[in-house]
Amino acid sequence: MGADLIAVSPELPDYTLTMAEKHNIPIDVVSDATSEVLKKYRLWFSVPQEIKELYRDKFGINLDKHNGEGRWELPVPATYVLDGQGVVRAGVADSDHTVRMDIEEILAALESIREGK
Amino acid sequence: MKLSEQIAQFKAGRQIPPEIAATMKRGVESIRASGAAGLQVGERAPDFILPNQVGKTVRLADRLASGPIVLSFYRGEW
Repeated sequence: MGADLIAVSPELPDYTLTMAEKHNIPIDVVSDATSEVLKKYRLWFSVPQEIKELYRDKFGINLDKHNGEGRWELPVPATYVLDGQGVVRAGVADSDHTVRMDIEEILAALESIREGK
Repeated sequence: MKLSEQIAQFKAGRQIPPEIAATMKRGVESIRASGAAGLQVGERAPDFILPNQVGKTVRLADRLASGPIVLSFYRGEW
């Protein structure tokens, strides 16, 4: 396919993956523990209070544990295809977390870069 | 099947209580209104240096020197 994959989350390094996964996964899973990069990419948001209560009290998702005490901050889920100059050639970012970029679209963007278009 | 089709199928098969669906919808709208829309096509991706899963430093600019990169922002392992 001719591209490396880097996955960024706001989780503390210890929470990104289990030990076995850490050593078996062929991609880089990086930790933005200060949210600095999420902000630079304009993807950062503070979890709205009623969503926080829903996640914590109904879904059992406690971001204090994953991201650090009081750090209820997340990225809008996003995927970007960058060419060798670091320019965004295709991407999807949507505050509705059920909207994700299709693999076919990623491959088409990579193909277009490969062909020098 | 495309990922978007799989997600649509998954959502169609789930009964989400109306009050939870309404809360989620308000949340999505409030995040959208905050202006967190990400990068535009044609824009240069900001460089970063972050530790990976085994504590090794990853610098985007260094990785781009070897070719294209697919960069994914996700909320977490949960």
